[in-house]
Amino acid sequence: MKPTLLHLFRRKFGHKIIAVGILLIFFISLAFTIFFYRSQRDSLTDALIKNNLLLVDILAYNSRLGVFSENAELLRNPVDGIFQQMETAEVAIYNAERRLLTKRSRPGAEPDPASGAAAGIASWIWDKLRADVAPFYLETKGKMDFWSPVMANAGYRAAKSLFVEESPPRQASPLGFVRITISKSTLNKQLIALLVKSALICLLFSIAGAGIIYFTIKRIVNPLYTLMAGVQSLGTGDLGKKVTVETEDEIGRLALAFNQMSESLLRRETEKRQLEERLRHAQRIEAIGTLAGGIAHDFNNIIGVILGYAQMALLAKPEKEGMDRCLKEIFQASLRAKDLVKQILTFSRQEVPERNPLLIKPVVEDALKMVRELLPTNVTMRHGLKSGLGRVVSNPTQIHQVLMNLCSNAGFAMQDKGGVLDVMLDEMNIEPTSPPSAADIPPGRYQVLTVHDTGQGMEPAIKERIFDPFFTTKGPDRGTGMGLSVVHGIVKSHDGHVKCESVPGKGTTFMVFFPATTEAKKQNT
Amino acid sequence: MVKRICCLLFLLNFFFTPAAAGQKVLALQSVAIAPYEEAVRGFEQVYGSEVKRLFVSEQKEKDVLREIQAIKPDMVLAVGRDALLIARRLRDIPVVYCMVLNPLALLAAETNISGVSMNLAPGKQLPELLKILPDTHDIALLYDPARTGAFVQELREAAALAGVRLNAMEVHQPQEVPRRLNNIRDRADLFWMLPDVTVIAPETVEAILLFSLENKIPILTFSEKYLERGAMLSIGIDPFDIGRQAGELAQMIFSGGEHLQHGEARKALVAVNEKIARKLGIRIEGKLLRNGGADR
Repeated sequence: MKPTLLHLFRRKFGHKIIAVGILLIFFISLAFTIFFYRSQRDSLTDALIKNNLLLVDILAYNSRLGVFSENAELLRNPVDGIFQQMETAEVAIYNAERRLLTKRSRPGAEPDPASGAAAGIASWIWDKLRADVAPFYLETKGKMDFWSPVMANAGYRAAKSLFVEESPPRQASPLGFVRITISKSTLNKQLIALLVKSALICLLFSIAGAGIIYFTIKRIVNPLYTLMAGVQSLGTGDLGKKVTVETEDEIGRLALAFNQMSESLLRRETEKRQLEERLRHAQRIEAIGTLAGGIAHDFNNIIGVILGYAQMALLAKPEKEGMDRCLKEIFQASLRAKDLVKQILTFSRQEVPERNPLLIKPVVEDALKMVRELLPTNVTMRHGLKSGLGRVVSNPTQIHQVLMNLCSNAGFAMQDKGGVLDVMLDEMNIEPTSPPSAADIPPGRYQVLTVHDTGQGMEPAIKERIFDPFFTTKGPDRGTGMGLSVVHGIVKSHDGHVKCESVPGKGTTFMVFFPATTEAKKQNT
Repeated sequence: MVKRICCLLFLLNFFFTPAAAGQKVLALQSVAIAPYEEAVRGFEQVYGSEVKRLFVSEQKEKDVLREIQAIKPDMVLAVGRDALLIARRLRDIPVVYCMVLNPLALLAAETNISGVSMNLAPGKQLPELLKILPDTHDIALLYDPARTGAFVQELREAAALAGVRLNAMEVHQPQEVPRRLNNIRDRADLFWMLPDVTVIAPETVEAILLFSLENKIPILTFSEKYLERGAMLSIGIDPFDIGRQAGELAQMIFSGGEHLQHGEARKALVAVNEKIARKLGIRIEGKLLRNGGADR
């Protein structure tokens, strides 16, 4: 559907503000223009009226002699003087008996058929002229008549009295009357010109105001539109979307806050995914462990039966030739199966040996001696074991087992090209504000056993499955795939954590976190 | 050539025109205006025939004198002030003047110059005034002693005889007129406008007429011209009668009889502006208007 103008206004905040602003400017301009026009119109009209009231008063004053003597020649100059004013259309002078003494019309002015004839003038005008000395005016369509009586002695003692005295004292009946008729066409032309000028000013103000409003609002709302696009983008899942911060005002600060929020959301989403992945992995390992542990118990019992009968059969010295060798094979295979089951039970934490607070360092030092023997000759081993560390609630065999498995894998990773094996022991305090790398480890004090090799490293897909039971990259008959599973089981049974960092071609680092304890060594151990 | 012949024929015709007294009179006229024409016609009526006219305003003084010498008239009738100023240079031709105000101020002791001035004696004017406005008791006037002092003195005497108070105030410059008018406002039944150029300047005439209008004081003027502008009454000379007076004087000169060398106008011409009188609230009897003055 094609969007209508109203629809646009409803949907665009900027359009609403611009429309309201323009309307406001327009109405203010219109109000100002109307006020200006009305005040100018009143001013022009007042000036015209005042000017002509004064003129008719002056004409009456200057016509006294001419009216008194009823001499048209004497009236010529005063009448000529009035015609210096462009608006004057007609001047007429009457004697006291209302007889027209002189009349002059401007050429081109529309003659008023009744204007010269006294009979055509309403009687109340004559009555008013006789009753009042002050000049007055009558407004009709298209013209204005200004009347004044001609007094023998107008009561003025000085010329300035004409300007300051409002109503001179009445002394006698008038000698005659004067009338100035002005055409309103000149005034109307001035008013039309004024109206046009006012309308143009209004239009100019409106356009200028609309322009200023438009550009100002656009400058304000553009960042909002950008912000809105950013929010919409964020809403569709485009986390980490950033908007350009153009200003330092509230909108700029809002954009900055949006960017920070977007970054935070992205970080949290990433962390959430990592946590989900870890949870999923842990659940998988846990499920496998539970399954394997359940099966291993039954297997262990079955193998115990096989081992017992095999041993009894060997003790019975079978008569058939070659039977003894077969029984020995059964016995050896059963021993391997028992060992494998034992590892499965260790992984699934079904088998919990006795643990006591102990110092890890001596156990590690002892184990490293054996590791040295296992490593290929092209692998250099280094170690950095911090002294004075606290104790960990553990079993020495399990610590030994963990280190042996990790070093064995490291040696295998470096067996072709050689490398360096670093083994370090240190203590670490995980704080709630620790870096994201330690985010999945609960805050606390840990002793960290680190095994780092410069071997071939692992691809992420492989790294994902290294703790899975029976997962191995060593090929058939070279590994059981239970080494790291056992490590994982032992560490988890310590309420510890294993972290693995690996870069293909560069090497792998395993960090094993054992919760440190403040308990002292038990007296009976 | 043709022009000379025509001129000669004209001159022959002029000299052979029969005049009543058989004497040749040349009318030297200041300007061709109606009062002067009337005066000349009055002269001609007494003289008995038309007289040759020469207009001063149309040519230079020297040409005028040369033409007079060429014409060789028996007498020159100088009509108006400018004509008299030229004619007074003629020593061997009798000169009769008329329509000149205060002619003695222009003349020395020329014996060949006689005439009738435009001056109308107060003794003639005052009775005419009192016939029209019998209730007049206070007459106000402004005058310049240097110009109309003698007239005012005569008027003062005439007024005393007639039992009328004369409030005459001196003015020496036209600028004094409005202030003096204000001073006499409360002491006048009538304002007498004299033919005094210090008082009757273009800028003061309106003030005097407005004085009359504002204070309802009628104006007596010397010229009908001011009647049209707001004066109520004029008492002036009769140009035709002055011309007749000049004609009579000429006849006496030609006949060698005794005569008054410098005379004054003997007839007063009264005119009333009835509209102004009505506006001033003054009622004048119709009989007086018919007998004594002309209705305007």
